Amino acid sequence: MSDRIYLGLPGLATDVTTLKEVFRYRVNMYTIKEEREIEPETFAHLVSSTLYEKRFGPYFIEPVMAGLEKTPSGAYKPFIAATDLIGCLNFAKDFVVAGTASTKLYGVAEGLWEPDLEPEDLFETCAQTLLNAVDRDAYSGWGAEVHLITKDKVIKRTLKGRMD
Amino acid sequence: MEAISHAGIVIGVLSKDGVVLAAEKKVTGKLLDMSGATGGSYGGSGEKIFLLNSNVISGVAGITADANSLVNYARQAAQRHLFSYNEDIPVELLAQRLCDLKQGYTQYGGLRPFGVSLLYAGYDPHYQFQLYHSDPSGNYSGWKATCIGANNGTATSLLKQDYKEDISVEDAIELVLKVMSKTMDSTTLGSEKLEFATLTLDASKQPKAKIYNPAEIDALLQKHGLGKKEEGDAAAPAPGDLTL
Amino acid sequence: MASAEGGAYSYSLTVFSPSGKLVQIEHALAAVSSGTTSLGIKASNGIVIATEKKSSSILIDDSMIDKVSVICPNIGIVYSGMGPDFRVLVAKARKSAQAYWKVYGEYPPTKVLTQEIATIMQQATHSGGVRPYGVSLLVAGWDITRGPCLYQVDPSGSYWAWKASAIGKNMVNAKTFLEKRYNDDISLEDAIHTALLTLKEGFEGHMTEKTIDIGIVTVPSQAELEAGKIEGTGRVKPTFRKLSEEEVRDYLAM
Repeated sequence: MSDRIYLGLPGLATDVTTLKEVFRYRVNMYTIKEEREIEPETFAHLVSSTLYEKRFGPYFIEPVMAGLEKTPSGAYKPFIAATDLIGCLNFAKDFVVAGTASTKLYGVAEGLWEPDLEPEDLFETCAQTLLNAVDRDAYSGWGAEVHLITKDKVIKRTLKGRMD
Repeated sequence: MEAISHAGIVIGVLSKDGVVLAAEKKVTGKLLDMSGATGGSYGGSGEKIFLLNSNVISGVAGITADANSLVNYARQAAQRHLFSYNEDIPVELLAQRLCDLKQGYTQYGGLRPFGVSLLYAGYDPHYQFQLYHSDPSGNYSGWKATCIGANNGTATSLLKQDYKEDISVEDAIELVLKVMSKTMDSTTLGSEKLEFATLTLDASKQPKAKIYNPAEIDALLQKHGLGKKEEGDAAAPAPGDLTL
Repeated sequence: MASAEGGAYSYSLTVFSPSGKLVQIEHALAAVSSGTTSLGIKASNGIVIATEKKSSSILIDDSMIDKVSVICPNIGIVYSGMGPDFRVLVAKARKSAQAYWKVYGEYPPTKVLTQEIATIMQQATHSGGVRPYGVSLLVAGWDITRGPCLYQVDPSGSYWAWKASAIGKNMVNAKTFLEKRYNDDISLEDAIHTALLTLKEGFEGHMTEKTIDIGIVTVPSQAELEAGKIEGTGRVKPTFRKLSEEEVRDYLAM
């Protein structure tokens, strides 16, 4: 969504495209009106309220967000959040998961994650969690894309799954 | 419209590799807070020059409050277009959207028109760089160089004299500043009275708007030998004055 | 308080006169400039907004008059002009601030709220069947991106950022006074005193804690910012507050 906010939209493909455009619209309007970039936490609230607008005819999407939040002193702090399809926010300190393999992801992440991981270790944890979870899920498994967001750069890596 | 002929002048000049806008600020005063004035390429808005979309900037003359409402409408219209068609809005279409709104206010019962003229400087892949002008009635037209606001007659004749086909953006900047310095009421130019912006292409051929911040404007004026020599006494703003 | 002069006239349409002016807005401005004086000063570490609150009878309970209003925990406004119009605008501004909170989970920056109010006021000059609001406002607030900010909004819906400004009956003199007194590194304490001194010029009657209303914006410390939301309430510490009668009395005594 911006240089330091990433949004994952697992769910119905048409809703993925529509929501991507809805959020581009709203983030652009925010940026031009407020003359500043939106912060991850503010964006999470925006996602939540956008989804709740359609409380009784929801988009079939459960978004996950990751980004770097600017602290008052000017440093950057990692931020993750997820919501359900009607926008109930979940600000987690450790990990957030979503999609058809979410139950499996919870299990593997629970086992692999530990506090204060360095970027490369975080990538390994994330990649292993994903691959091992999708292997146990019938609906997913073609592969994965991992974006590693650091304060200087974003590294994108593509992982191949079992593809069966 | 009379309200606009009192307003601070806005000049726009089109060149083959960019568009230049400059505006005269009427509200000045020792105690005005300039620290909030933004510049740079994204999301900037001054008092008279606004970013409407990533590919369009506009300069306004007339009733500021009406202008703010039109700017907001334009930004929404541009984002709606991006949403529907997944491309930046073509400049003429954006001008047309605003003019449809303005026209409506002149026709439907009981409402006064918007007291605002606008200049639109924009870029789209099909027609490249463009400059449009629209007035309160909802008329619009494309221009190579034009201006709105007070003294627009003088400025227009100066522009006619000095405008050349195939002018470069650098020359356009110089032309705009020259005309500005000759038409403005005050003898010296300075960032407290001037707003300035350009729209060019960046290295990846994407339109890039730059709205100058006060320090950059002063630097630009110095560069063209039009900077102020001494501190001029800024007049206190007329509190009731609603035309900028 | 100014009454709407011009009778039925002021409820007629806002239209352009041949000279290009909007007559109803001129009337609204006249209502403002016959209203009580209000002023605001931006200091290096905060903002003060102040006004006189005169009551027409000694039997009125002054403590019930609110001329400085809190919009949300970081923003407050003061007015000159017509009281009822102000009350309506305060209600709309508060609603707008809460609507913003509902979407973004934080309160609006001063500039955004000012724009919202300005839009409401502009619409009144541009719709059928209504007259413009007969008030000018001073909006003072703090936000993380721009720090302390002071804006003035006029009946036309125009707004400006000020270091110091005055509106109402005595605005011309007050502004001259402020221009002489103001410097960029004035402290909040000094600004409050300057505000009181400016009000004193052209004050009719006795200036006491009961006849003036003051609101201040304070800048939170780095530690307070890092601490973020207060445990239990889930809210950040307010940066705008009104001074109590006791505090005003202390400032007057100094």
